[in-house]
Amino acid sequence: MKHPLLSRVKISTKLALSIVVIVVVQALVMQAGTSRLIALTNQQYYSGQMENRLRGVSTYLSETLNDMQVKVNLLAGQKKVVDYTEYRLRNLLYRELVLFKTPLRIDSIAIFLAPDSLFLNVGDVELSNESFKRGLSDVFANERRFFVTRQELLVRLWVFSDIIKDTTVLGTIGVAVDVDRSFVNRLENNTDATVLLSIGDHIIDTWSAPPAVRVEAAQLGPSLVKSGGDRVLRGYMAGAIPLSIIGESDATAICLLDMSSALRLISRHNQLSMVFALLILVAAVLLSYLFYRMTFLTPFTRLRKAVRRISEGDFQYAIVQHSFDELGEFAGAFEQMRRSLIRRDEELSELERFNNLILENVRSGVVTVDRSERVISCNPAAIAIIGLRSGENGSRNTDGRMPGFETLPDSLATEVRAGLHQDRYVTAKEIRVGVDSKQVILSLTTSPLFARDGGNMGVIMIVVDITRERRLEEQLERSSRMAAMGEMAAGVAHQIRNPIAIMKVSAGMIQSGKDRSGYEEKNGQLTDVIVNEIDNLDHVVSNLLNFTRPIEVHRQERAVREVIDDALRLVPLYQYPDSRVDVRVHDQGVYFPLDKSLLEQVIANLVQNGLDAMPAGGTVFVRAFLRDTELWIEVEDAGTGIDEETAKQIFMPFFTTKNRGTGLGLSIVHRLVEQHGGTIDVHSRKDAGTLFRVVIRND
Amino acid sequence: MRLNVVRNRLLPLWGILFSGFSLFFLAGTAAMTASAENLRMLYMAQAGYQPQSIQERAKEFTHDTGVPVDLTFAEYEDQYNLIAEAAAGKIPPFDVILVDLIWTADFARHHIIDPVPQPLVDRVKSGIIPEIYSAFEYRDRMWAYPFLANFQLFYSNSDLLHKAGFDRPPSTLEELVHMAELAKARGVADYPIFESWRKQEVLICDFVWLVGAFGGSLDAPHGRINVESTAARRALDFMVMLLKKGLVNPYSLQSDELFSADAFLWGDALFTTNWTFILGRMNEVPFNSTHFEASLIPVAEAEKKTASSTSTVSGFQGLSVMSNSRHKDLAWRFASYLSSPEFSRRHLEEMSVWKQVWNEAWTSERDPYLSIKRAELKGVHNRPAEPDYRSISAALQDWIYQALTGKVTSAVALAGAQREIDRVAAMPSE
Repeated sequence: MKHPLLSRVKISTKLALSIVVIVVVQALVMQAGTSRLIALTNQQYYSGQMENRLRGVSTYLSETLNDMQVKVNLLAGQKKVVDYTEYRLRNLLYRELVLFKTPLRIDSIAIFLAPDSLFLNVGDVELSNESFKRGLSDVFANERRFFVTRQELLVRLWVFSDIIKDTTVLGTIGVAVDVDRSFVNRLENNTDATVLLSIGDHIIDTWSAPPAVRVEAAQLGPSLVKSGGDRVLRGYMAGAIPLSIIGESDATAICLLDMSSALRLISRHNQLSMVFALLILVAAVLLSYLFYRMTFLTPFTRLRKAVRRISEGDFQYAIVQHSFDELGEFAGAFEQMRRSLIRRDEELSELERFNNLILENVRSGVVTVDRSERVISCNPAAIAIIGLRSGENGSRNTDGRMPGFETLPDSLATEVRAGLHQDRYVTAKEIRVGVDSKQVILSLTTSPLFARDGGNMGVIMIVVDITRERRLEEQLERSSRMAAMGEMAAGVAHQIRNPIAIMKVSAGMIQSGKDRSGYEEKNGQLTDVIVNEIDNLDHVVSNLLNFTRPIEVHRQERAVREVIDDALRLVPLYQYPDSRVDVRVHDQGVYFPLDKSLLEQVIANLVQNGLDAMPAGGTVFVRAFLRDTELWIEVEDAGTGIDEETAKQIFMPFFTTKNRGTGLGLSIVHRLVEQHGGTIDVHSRKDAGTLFRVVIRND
Repeated sequence: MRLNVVRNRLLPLWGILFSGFSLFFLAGTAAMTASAENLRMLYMAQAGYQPQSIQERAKEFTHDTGVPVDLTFAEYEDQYNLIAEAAAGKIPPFDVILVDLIWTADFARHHIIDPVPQPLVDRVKSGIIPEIYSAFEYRDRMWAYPFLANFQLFYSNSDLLHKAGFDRPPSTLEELVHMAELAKARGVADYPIFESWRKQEVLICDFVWLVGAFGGSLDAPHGRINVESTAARRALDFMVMLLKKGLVNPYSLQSDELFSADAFLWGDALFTTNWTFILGRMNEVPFNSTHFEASLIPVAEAEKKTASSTSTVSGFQGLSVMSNSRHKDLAWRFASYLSSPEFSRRHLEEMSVWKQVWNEAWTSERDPYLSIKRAELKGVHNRPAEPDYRSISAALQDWIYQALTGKVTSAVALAGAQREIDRVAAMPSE
């Protein structure tokens, strides 16, 4: 479980908490969303207002500039201004211009006859001010008609116009407006906003905004201009435009809109909304609880009780479906499940009984042992076969009524432990154990006992008493061996009897022919016959000794082709001039572990047999190839073939179809192949040839 | 249809015209009724005693005599025509008129005004100096009761004067030029002198005192007016020289006395000559913070016989009674009531014409320039007392102005003026 704590909480509690959380989250989200929406709408509204205000500031500045230009043009065109300038009536002009100052809302008027020649100064022109000198020089150079001067805390906007009489420029008249608090005040009255003018190091405003806001807004001015947006500062929305309209590149006009009233309203709305949301939340929680209690908790408690009863085995506790909602469907499903469980219980009981019956009646002993080497179960057959001592009620229970593991015979216990601890299992392994002072032969099969989840629970041991079968087989084998020995004795007797008979006859003839002429010659011939037959007897005895001698196999990696070639050298091929041997090794370089000398005998024997089977000549095919881990060697001839009955006896010692031969060749071949751990088969049809197939495993 | 429309549109106009005529008739009737009982006076609005003072005096007259006085104030420039028009009617709109001395001969010869009754002439001659009352005499008779002793003085801006390095005003014309040149050179003023040389009567006034300053005179009561005299030539040359040297502001050629006074009082000139009304303005705000000084008009060095040698031009005005007035006695009575020592004593901002007022200690206390004024009056020059003076003046103005503007030389100008004057004089009198 990833969340143990959470897993301990009841579903009903989780559900209730979920409902509460959902309601709370929804309320919070709604509240936050509404608040955010109102805040955004408010900000958007103020942004729109800010845009208007900034446009208003720009318009006002533009109009101020135009207005000043109109005024200065008006003054420049005044006859008195022209005449008095021309005739240097400085003081009279002063009197006139002073009268114009107030109605025209001009703070300063100055007339210059040349850049360095001040004629009249109505106000206090900052002649020593470098920015003024520079601006005035530009005016006289006709490069611009207005500029801003800064001197300490005084910022002025100057607008100029030439004083012209006829076509002569008498000088230039400039009017100035102090960009001061009253200027900003007029600006504010026109734009209905709090305005700060940030010109160089100066901040000009009416102090209507809090100092912190003013300072912060002034600092933000350039960035606001750059971004073209607005920002909320301590309850004020700030926006800015550059004052390039009056020729000031490093100056900004910053508008501040007091959002405090709107923010207070929003705050009050939020508080009220929070209260309502809280009330709604409480009501929602109560309603949710009632709803939860009615629609979930009560039916769920009822269902839980029923499920608990059923889980305790009380399948007769019926679940009543009170509603048709999900829980009702759930209860109905549980009821169906209960009924299915009843049926399944009955079926399981029946199956158990049947299984028990099988186990009780099966003749194989079935014993299960857990990993703690405790016998979990054992059937009566096991008890009977192994002689276990079970509990009173047989082998079903796994408690103390089961026989102890220590009562198993040691050999069985060893095999079981090998399965438990080494994962080594056996199949049909014969074990001889002593049971009740009797020797019993058991066929033992062990296999792992896996749980449904794949876990290894222990070992299943199946024992079958094969004592009787083995006794019968041994008896049969002894009979077969005796029969074989009889046949072999008969064969040996046959092999021996004929030479002996020949020798007897020859000896009798020698004995009877002493007096006859030509005895010496005849005697020599007969003696040769006897010697020859003795050689035959020696050959028979040698073969018999060879056949009976134990064979030791020494397998080494050998080239198959080389083995076959060396084997063919043992065959007296010169005796079969009309025949030939065709060798085909599929992989010339194949190596295989084998005893070279033994396998050479096998191949040579089979080839010579094939050559013998083709009196009229032909080809003996020798084929060798690998198949999986086995070496297949086939020797095929196109001889007379053998019938089925002959084929069954062909590997019996002393069985031969030849006029000459000991009848031990193929028996020896068979024995050599068996000693190699291989098999040899023969496939033959009459008059169609014979195929010997030797298969040697790579053990 | 169209006629109806026109009629409908004209109907309101007819109504307005009818109403207007009705009101005019009623007003005219009322005026005739009033003029039959009230004394009426035409007075100058812009100079001399203030209209309020005149009104107060008229009320006093009414209080003393029971005769109401209707006062009409008009601009100086309109006065001549108003009087001429009034003379044409059987019932003049005015009984008493303020007469400039230059109109005296004209009005007398054209019987527009009556001569001053002998008792009043005697009073004048006993209480007023001849320099004043002689201005109103024509053909041995006095035609106006002296009222305003107006003449020109020389004014200096002491602050600028000190700035230029001087501690007193010039006493001669040569000194004036010297000081003006220095002041100009020292940057005290672009044009140190400002005069009233507009092509109007004021130009003749300045020419008259300048001619006097150079020892001549244009006043020829019974002889030929000679403007080609040496004094006249030197006077005009002097004026042209001042302009050429840039010592007098060229704007003087467009200025009358009022503007000239403003230019001086506002500090745009160190020197000016003007009427006595400037003395009153010097004490007004904002000029009272500036130090001004009134002095005798300088004369040419050659004419500086004594320390008090000076030359000025008179601008005297007197009170006359229209010939066609039906209340002549009452009119003379009001004229003498108005131009009385008692009245002038109360309004010392204007120099009284009465000697007795001059001698009163109160007057000396109130008028620090009284002695200057009295000294200046010694050198007063009147403009020619000729019936055709207006034509003579116009011709002289034209020629002098041409000389000042450089169109003709002084000699040519004065010769031209002389020809015009002679032509006017040769014209048969009406």
